[in-house]
Amino acid sequence: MVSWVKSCTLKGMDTEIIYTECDIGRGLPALNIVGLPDTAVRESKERLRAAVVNSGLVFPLSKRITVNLSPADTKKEGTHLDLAIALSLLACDCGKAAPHVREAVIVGELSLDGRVNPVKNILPITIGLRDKRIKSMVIPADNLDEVTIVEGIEYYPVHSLSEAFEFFIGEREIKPVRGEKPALEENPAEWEEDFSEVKGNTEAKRAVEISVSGFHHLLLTGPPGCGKSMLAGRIYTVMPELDYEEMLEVTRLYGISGDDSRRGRLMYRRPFRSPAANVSSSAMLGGGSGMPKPGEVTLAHRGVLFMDEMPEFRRDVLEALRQPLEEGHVSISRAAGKVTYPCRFILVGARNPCPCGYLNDPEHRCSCSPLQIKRYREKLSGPITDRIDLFVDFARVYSPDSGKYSLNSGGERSSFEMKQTIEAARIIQKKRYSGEKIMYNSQLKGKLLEKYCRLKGDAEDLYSEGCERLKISRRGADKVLRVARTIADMEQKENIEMHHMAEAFQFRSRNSEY
Amino acid sequence: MNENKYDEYDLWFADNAGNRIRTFFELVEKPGGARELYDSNAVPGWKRNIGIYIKIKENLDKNRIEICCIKDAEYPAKLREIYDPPYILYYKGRLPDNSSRMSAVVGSRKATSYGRKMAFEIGKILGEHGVTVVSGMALGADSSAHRGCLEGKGITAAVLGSGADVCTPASNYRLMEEIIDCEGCVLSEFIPGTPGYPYNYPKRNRIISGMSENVIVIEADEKSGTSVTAGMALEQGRDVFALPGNINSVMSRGTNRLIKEGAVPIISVESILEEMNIPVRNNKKSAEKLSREENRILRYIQNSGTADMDGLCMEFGKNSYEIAGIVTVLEIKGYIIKNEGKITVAK
Repeated sequence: MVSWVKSCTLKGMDTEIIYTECDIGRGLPALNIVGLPDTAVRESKERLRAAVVNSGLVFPLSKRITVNLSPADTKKEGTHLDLAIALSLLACDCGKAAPHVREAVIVGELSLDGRVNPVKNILPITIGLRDKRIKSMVIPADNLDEVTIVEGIEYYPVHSLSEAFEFFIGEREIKPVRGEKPALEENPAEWEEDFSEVKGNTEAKRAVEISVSGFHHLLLTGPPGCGKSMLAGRIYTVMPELDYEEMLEVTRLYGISGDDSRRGRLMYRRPFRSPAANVSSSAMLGGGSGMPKPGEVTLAHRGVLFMDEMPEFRRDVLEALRQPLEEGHVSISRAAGKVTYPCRFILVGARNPCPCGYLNDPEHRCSCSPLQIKRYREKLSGPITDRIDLFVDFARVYSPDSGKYSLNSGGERSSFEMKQTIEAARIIQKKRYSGEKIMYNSQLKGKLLEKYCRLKGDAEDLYSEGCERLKISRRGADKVLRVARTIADMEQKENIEMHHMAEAFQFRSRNSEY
Repeated sequence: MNENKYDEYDLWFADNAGNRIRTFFELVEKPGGARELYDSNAVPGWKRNIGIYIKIKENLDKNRIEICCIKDAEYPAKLREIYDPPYILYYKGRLPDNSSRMSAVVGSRKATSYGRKMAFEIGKILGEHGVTVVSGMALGADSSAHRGCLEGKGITAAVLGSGADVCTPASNYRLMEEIIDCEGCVLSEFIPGTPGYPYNYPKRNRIISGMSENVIVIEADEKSGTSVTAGMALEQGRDVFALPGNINSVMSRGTNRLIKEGAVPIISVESILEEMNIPVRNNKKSAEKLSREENRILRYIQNSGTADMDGLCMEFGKNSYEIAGIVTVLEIKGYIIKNEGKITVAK
């Protein structure tokens, strides 16, 4: 006779439903698990035998037992299948199963004495099941605190195999716990960092505001210590807050990556990732042994990926950023399978004007050779800079009145003010692109660019004259147009006016001779 | 052309004599010339490796390189006067006519945007007035000077520290082609194929200043090749012009020092022409109209030399986006240049 129980396994980002089928028949006594189990799953038969016996239940002796994990062609990972396998075996033996429990997805790891141990990765699994519209789950009681932040599922916590079995055959009632949205732990207004701390650098701050408003990638060039990292590190404070769905998505990605620093809690803050310059391409994009794990680009999803000293990154890492930047997701193929992770982030790059950092500095001597400078600049040429819309150069200018930059200058734009402008601009874009496949101004190109970037009379003149006189390429001109669109949105204007266009020209990429 | 007048022995002689031509000139003037010198082994230490020069001579045509000897009429007249002229010049293109006036424009490879802009403007005005611009085709100021001269429809000559067929730096290949196409030339005293060894450059610099009646120094650090060229120009009795700069700028220290030591400061681009007694042709376009705000900001930038966005915002009490718009308009109209975050005056 055959029985089946629902369980699941993680496949990349998705949770796949698995049916654990069990057949007990005559033949040479054996317990076989088939359907591409990994080592952890295959070992479960030893735990299973001991747990069943030690729980006081009957293990069918002298029978040939076959457990199949269907669909049989997907690889299964993890110890959380133990409980489902045990229940399918016991249910098969006694021929009973409560119908309402059959719909529940069962996860749990068995201990030799019959207790149900908590499982790793419970959050990504649960969030994935919610997307699959699963309504109920049987989970280890120790995992309950973690999963209750996932709304829309009823959880049946179990402590032991015998408890689970009795529940499964309808001889015991367990009171379900409903998942609910948690209250926020922190008020965003009280975050420790704020843009009002950034003194001066008005142009760069403005660039950040534009960048976040239209989701444009940003490249900052400037000497060491001019505030590039300080700016980048505060971008999350002006990004619109994550909504619940987005929080779940980010939490899930962090869960899969094995980063459990926030174990069992929601990621309520936009991620800010700043990988070191020697990062390998699999750490950047995702990879590793077995099922590919998410990399930095995915962990920065819905947040900021800050690449300090961008030209120092390995060439292959820089080149590999093309697909993530273009498409907002990254596909990783490994022997274990192909996985696609989302990675829609704002790229903020920072670099020095030359390897030593002091080119054009009035007070320091630059110690680089022209060839070194040229090589340094060329590292970022082509495909990557094509996808960056905003370029800002920081200058250190000798100024006789630098005393003006005192600590108490005040009147600096705060994160709160910036955020208001940004949120308004985002709403306009959302409305405008509701019928299109895109979401942000930075994704405008070709026909859409023409359709949505209407220029008012003198803006048109300025655009064509500027592009001609400033020797801006076709692609550069598109970038200017996209940025102008965002600036107009920040002022809630339907059409792009002359002053929007004029400002947009300031953020173009300038070809210096090096 | 003149290849047949000189044989491989002359090339051998020129290469060995280098900048000590005064010492050996008498030897080569003897009947039998360089060949006799080679056969007699008159100068101890000179290698008897004529094979190399035979090959070079054979390849001259293929690489379209021509040679010019100090005894030829086309040889740059001014260069012949210096203490240590090269015996033979290799060149591609056309040597500048000896009736035309020549000015050297030299500057740092790491010239600032101000330096590059001024090199361009100076090259341009010289080109427009028929002065041949001699420079070294290096990155930075040199390239800008060549480009400016080409822009002004002038003739320009590049003196290399490598063989005339070796484009140094390689990234200036297009510029080199353009110089040759526009009736200019690329010349060198080094045998074709010589790489740009660092010790070639001081020798190269003596040719740059030697060919010209004056040397215009754009930007130079205090201890740099450019400063050496300026010193050499003084030894050769050439006029030295120096572009004054901000005293806080590292790149202007060398030029400001030159001025202190007596070089002629360049107070305007036209002042060079006045010093050279060339009448200035006035073909300036009428200035474009600027709004009041634009004028105020332009005047501020003109007064302070360089500015940055923060400074302008502070000075005029405006938001960065308002300033940005005005800066763009001034840039488009060609009044200012913004580079690496610094705003400088263009004209």
